[in-house]
Amino acid sequence: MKTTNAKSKSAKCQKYEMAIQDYALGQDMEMSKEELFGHLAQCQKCQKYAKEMRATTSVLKAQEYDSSPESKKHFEEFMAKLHASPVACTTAQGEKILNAEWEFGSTAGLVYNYLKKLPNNKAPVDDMVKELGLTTSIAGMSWLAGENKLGLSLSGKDAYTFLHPDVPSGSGVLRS
Amino acid sequence: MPFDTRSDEPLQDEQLVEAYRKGEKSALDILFSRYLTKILSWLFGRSFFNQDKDYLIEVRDEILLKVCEGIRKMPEAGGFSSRGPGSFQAWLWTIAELECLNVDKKRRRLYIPFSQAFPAQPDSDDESASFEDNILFKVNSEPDETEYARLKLERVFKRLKPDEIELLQLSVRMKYKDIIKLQKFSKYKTIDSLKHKVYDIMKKIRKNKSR
Repeated sequence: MKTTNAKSKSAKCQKYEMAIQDYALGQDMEMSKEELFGHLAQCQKCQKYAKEMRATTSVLKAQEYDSSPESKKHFEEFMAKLHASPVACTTAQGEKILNAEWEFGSTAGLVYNYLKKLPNNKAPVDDMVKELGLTTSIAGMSWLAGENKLGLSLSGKDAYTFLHPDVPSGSGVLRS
Repeated sequence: MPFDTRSDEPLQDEQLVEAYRKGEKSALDILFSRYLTKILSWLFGRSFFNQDKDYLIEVRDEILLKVCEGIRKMPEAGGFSSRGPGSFQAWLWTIAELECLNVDKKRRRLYIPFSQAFPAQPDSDDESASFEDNILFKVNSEPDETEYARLKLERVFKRLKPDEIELLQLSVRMKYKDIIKLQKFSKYKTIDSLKHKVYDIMKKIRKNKSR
């Protein structure tokens, strides 16, 4: 009787193991997330399986991405920017001198990426300030506006900011 | 020590750091390319329930940037040991861990590192915690895979048949329904049969890994 129970439990878990595999690989699951997670919450065997799948798929995904031309290009560009940025130094008063172009360019990258992910690449300015902070938002917006890559609009009392539609992805924007 | 990339013996991490500090820029390229995929794999592992590749790549850039800044700021007498807690590798992972916490805080993204998840159970009255977050606490209540385990996994991958590794790589990039349309994998008539094949490969990996 005990063996039968163990067998039926194991067969039941195989269904969830399949679902965990699908989830980890980013495939469509044959059950809802709620059902899977509901089972995971109480089944230690499947929790162990999820951890193993996490380890396996994370290595696979990283290898897959880093073998792509997209990743190689990104790395080359990143290293070129890194080599171009001068070493930070300190004044006699202990004040740290930063590479202004690098610092502002970086904030521009944050603003750019934030807007890029939104519908119409547009957001209320207040929302962006809440998300990225005031300094980052202002510095990033200024940079992008100076490059003619960002617009502003007013609807009632609400100010909106948006990327110009013809901005090519990542052009002139550090860390985008 | 002259910097010579043609040398048969690959330079150690600490030697590459020294070469970079003496002005050899390409030493940093070599050093970072050693850790590039390892860092991304580590980040994927940490964010199993909230995977966003673009975001993780940004975080990796932040980590590499911090490492570079750290190397540049090191005192003249500073240096890394070849292994142990004083090694470059140990220092890099500490920076990675700290930077993960830092970028999450800065960008207010919902991304829960496992280390934060270990100590406490989620507050069941906290409405801001989503269902997935609660599960995260349960599933990830043990430390992430160690570097050793990841290396072991990479070795296991190398022992798979070329077809098997190709199928796994495709599975993280494409949907099953598109994979069975490929000539090479058309022998799998249904999504289900393909899915079971992947399941069998995963089982093989588990078996080899536990040896």
